[in-house]
Amino acid sequence: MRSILWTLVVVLSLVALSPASGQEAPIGAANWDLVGEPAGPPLTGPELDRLTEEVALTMRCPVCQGLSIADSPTALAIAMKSEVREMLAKGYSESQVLEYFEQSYGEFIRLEPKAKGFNLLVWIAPLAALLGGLLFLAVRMKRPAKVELQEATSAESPSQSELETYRERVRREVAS
Amino acid sequence: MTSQLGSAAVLLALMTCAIGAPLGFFAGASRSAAGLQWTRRMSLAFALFMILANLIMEYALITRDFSVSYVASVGSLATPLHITIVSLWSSLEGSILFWGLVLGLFTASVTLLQRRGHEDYLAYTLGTLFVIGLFFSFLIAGPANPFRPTPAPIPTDGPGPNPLLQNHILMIIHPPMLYLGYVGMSVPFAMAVAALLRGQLGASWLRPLRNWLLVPTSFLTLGIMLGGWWSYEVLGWGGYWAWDPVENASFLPWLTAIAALHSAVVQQRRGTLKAWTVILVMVTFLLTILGTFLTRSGVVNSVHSFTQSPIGPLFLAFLGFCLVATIILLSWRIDTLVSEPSEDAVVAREGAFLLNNLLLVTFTFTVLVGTIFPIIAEAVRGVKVSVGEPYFNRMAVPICLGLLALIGIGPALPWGRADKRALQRALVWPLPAAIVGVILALLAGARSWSVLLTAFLAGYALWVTLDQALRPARLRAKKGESAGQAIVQTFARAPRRTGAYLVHLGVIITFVAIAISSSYKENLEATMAPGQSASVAGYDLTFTQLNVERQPHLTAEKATIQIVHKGKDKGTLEPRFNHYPTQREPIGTPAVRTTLTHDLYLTVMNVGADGRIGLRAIVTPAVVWVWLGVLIMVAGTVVCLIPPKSAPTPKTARTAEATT
Repeated sequence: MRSILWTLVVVLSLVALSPASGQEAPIGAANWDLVGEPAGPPLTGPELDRLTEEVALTMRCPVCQGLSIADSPTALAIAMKSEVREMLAKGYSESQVLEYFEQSYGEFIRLEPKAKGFNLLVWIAPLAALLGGLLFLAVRMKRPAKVELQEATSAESPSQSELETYRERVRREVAS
Repeated sequence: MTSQLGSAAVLLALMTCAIGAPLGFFAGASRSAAGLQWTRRMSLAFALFMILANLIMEYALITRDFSVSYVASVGSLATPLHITIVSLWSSLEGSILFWGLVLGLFTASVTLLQRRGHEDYLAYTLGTLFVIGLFFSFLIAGPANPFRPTPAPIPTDGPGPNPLLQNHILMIIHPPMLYLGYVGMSVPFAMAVAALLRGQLGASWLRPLRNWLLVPTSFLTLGIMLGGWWSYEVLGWGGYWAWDPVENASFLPWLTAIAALHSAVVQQRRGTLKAWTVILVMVTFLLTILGTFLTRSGVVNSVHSFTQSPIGPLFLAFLGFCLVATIILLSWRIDTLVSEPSEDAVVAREGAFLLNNLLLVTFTFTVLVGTIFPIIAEAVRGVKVSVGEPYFNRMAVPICLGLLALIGIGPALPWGRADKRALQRALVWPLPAAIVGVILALLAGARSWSVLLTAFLAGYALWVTLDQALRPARLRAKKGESAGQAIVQTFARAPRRTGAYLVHLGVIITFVAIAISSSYKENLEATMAPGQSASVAGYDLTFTQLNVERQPHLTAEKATIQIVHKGKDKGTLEPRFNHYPTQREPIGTPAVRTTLTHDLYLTVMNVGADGRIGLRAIVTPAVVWVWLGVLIMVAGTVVCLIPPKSAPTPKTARTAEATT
């Protein structure tokens, strides 16, 4: 596995460093059609910069410790980022780019797990916890609150009750 | 010789724990005063032996006694003295020994600071701490023994500590802070165990429990921040938080500790949520053990992790033991911690606290699931998956916005029953401040919805926080006190209240700084020959020269970059590229120019044979406010610990205060 990675490092560095890259189809481009034809029109300028950064942030640098290829200073990450840029320039969509890299590196490359199959767990579990908690609180808080809140509305004038709250607060503060 | 002395000290510490643990539980169950007295003495002895063991190790490190295995693995003749001293915690065995020291100091502090009252709680507390101490002493004496004699032939020099540790001064203080936070969580855990065994958690025990929770939380806050700062100053990618598994491991117990501190407030005010507070405190401790397991076992991939070691399974076993013990204890005794009957209905303010707890627990759960999911997925599907920054950010942003909203809304709500109109007024009143926040953000050029929403909530929360913090002072001033006196009195009478709002202020500042710094980064990557220039975000950077600097333990290539900001000369920065003779890969050290509005961050990514450098420049706004915000939070927790200056109180309250 490691030797494959290192071969890739070398190949990709060559791709990135070759003077032709960016203009003509670089060496690695032969494989791009694995993910079909470009889904959109070619991109250039600031739009391309922005999208490159955005996609690079969601891809893991394979030789680092959990950094994205946008953040990582390693040669491999820089080479991968420039390939991402070339693909996006040709008009490949974000999902096509990710798909392409996934074919070389496996699902590991995605910093955000695909919301599919077993991975759904990591997306749904937190939401389920939040909703479950809310439901629990709603049920618990509903019971005793009703009666007393009605009573509370017929209190003294707001300014006086407010003053009373302040006084109460100071009293407590002194007592605490 | 040193090896034997060190091992002897550790074995004695192990013995005091082995005696202290049953003694403590026996004294607790039989309420024996003599038993407690001996348990206390044991705790002092435990601390003493741990101090001794650590001093012996320091002596071995400083005298470079390579016959001690740990010194042979992290020491080197070329390493400067201050780094030699801190290399005590630079590697696995030493860090466990240091853990033992911190645990010993905390155990002794409980004995020394809780001198009066709480007798029947104290024996159980110390007994539980001894059980934890037993495990760590066993690790130090056996599987992770740093005092093992080096097999012959004894080397004349060693490899030196991890180069990342030698790179920055922050590495000297970051780990001890984190340890003080991590290990300190054992104390509130032990106190919660004591409350369960006693079957009672009244106000008098809650107060010391909360203070003992506040102390490690404060250290943990500082430790996490210093960790982020260290990673920013050393690792060279320009960020301070990557949702790395080890960062997450330190963040998890912090979240539950914060939740527990809030539910303790509800318990103090209303006598409810007792069992919940106890559960949170216990979970916090379990998460510190889980975090240590994740860090030390090599099951997760991380920049901060230690090398793989045999103590991983032992930590897992200890975690399992603590978890089972906690569950049994809770299911057996939790019914004894009934809420005191309360006349008030569950209304506004308490609701805000409950939501706060719900969000913090959801946050904990999310980070936990995200951190361990790769392990689960690999076990279930056999496929390596990553859960990284984009996932955590997507989940954390809404939760943090929710928490920021609660910092605004919560304190504005009254306790107990509330008049509906007063309630509405309290909530509408801060809205103009929120709108001012949005306008300021728009003027500064913010357009993304998340930053604008943060500005809105921050403006609201800032108003409420300042208004609430100063409210008692205003009331005093109305009664005729001078402004200065009113503020001083407010602070002196209720340091906890003032401290809490100071913490909130720090949180608001940190949230805003994180939102800005993560949204508006400008990046430049350039290959430059000496004399060439590049520009980014108003900066003109000129690479003037490359120097090679040779120190005994490293060779550094230092690039000198001339900085001009908006036409003004700002001197030079010198990012470095370090080569350590003992390490294969060179390590870059960034150079940072910090201002109150933004940071300029320079790293050398590579140095070519022709003298050209690959330079990366990042301009990030507001980074310094992340650190400042957290420092304000820490200052706030310290203020919370100041005992209030108060009028004469009943005896029970006074004994409780003596403990603070």
